[in-house]
Amino acid sequence: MLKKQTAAEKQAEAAAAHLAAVQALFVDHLPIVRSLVLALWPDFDGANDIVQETFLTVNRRAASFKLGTDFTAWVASIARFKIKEAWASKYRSFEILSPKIVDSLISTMPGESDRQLELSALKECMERLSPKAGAIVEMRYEQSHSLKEIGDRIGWTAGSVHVALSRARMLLRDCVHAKLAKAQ
Amino acid sequence: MFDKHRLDVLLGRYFDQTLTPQQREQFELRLESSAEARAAFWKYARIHNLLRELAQQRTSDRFVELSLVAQGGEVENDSRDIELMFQDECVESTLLRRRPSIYQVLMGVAASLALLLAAWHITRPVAPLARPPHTVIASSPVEIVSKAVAVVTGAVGIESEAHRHAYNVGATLDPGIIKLQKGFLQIDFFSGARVTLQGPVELKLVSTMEMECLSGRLSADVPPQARGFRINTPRMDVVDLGTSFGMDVDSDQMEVHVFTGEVELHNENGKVRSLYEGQAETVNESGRLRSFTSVPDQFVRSKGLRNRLEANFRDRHQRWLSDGDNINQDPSLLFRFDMQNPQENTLNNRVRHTPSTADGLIVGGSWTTGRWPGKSAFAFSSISDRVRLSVPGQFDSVTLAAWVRINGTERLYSSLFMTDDFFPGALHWQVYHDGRVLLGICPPDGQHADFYSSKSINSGLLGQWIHLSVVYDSQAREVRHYLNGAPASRESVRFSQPVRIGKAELGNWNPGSRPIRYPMAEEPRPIRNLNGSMDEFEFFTRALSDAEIQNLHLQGAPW
Repeated sequence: MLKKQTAAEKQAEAAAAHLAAVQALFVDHLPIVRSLVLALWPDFDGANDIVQETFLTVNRRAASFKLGTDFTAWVASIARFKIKEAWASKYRSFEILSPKIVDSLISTMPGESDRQLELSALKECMERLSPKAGAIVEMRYEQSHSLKEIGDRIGWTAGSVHVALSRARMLLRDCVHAKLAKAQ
Repeated sequence: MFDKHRLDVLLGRYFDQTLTPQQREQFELRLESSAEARAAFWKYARIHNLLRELAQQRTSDRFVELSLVAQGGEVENDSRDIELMFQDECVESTLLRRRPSIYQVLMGVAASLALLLAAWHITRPVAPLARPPHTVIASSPVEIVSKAVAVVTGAVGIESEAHRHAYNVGATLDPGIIKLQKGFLQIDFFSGARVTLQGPVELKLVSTMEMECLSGRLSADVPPQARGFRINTPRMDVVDLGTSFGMDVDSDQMEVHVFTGEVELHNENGKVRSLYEGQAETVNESGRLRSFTSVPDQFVRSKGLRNRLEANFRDRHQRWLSDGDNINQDPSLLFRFDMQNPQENTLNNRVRHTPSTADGLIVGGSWTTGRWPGKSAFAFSSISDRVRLSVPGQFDSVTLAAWVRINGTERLYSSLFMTDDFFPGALHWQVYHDGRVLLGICPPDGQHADFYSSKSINSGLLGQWIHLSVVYDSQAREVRHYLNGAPASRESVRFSQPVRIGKAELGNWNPGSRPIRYPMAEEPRPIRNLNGSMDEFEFFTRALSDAEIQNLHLQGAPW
């Protein structure tokens, strides 16, 4: 004979379902969370930590989120808090934006975009980079090397690596922008 | 006026984290005052994000290819490396994108990526595509590179102008000059050739198969695996054909003595002569050769050096034991694990004047050789290895010190000493994955304050016995890190908080009793086990001075 569920069991089941739903929303919104955090905390490792901390808090506070309301705003406010927390700690080793500017930027963050379209535009645009610039971008973004480490490998100064990276990013920004405008 | 070019320069610097404080001020001013600047920020940020995402996709694509090749049978999806898994989210999602049918089978009708997170909790085998157990892959793995061609395997009485730890046993050697005023140094090339140097000597390492002897005396043992090993000199090059020989180079002449086997002498005109066991030759300034019988006793060889090393180690070990008796009497010492007389489950606390502190309890791990032959050390290698401690009381200041040999820093954080909980006053002494040592303190507000060392445990120090210590000095309001007895950072503390430890661990972290961060028993915990060995650990309830730390290092230094 099937055992009848107690009220407590029902409640626990509902809580578990709610947590799973919130976790699903988090995963759906992960690209936007990552974008937000990496923009406001450009160091890859630090950004990873903050996204991880954001997830832990989302998990912990899942019960306070009402399904059907604006998840982006809710998770962004948690990520923003985590950025401020990291900012306040002694973790940072570089100059990061002050909380006031962070708030101002978050309020003007663009909405969701077509990630796959953007990525395929970026792939095409990257073919326009010189082999050297492509290699520098790969060392920075794929292998997470610092500017100095990249410079040591190719016999450049960190300053020259920064200039080459900045130029590559600007070229890619303009190229991706042009491709997306054309696609629309 | 909106200066687009200037903003682009500042954006580039911001995303490369090279803004100066002045530039940051300018940057913030522009962002604050101009909507156009904020829009430009997000446009630039989009490229920064996309580049990172694309890079991670490529990395994960490679991982998928590798895992498909490498995996045959059933593989566990282990929840234990959760801390790094979360960073690998793109790896997982790429797996799913590339194999939708398997994903559907796996995850069933729910077909929600949320189950990916839920899968963290699953310890049963779930899919042939999941990662191998305990495999740790960082979000964008960086191939660790090294130029090293050789490693120091013996050193006695070294005097050199090089960095004082450059020729410690275990130190790796990059191509470049080695100059010793005094002492004996044994170098093992990665090719297998072993060279024993007698100071004064000057030479240049070229590759794993080649070196130049500029002046001084050396002996070489070249096994068949390193046949063809070459030593160039100003007068002649010596190519070894699987043998042992000695060489003495000075400004007037050079001598080669063959002890066993055969060597080839190549002169600058390209002529080659062979020299056999028992033979020796001298080449003078004018290039003339003189043959005679080799004199092996003229050279210190690997066996002779080993005898000297052993005598030196015995002496150092004995001195450390007798110094240890004095250290144990320090009334501020709460714990001292000297790792002598290993026991199965217990790490003996040598401090007996404080009855409230107990021994350490060993969970997992194993005993290994310590700083000297015959001296034991405790090895942490598996994610479950740890030593449990209970530290009662609270302290205004503390000093932690340890002799450790770190094999690698693959974890985001590797534990040296960590309290289970992170309540105000708790300490987390760890090694960050970039090699910096970190002391995290929980301040009165319950947040965390992290104090990093300015010096890192770089690849040259991995595998070597090193002395780490950290001081939390409430009077001076500062945290001081030390590496091998030398200051490695001094940072001020903005709060006042006595230290409280309670339950803690050496070499690992058990955050199980953290009710706030980990409310559910089944929630995965970060993995922070140390990959290395510990040969001594001290916990003082006061702030040791620079001189005392230096002394502690000198007393325990293995060389």
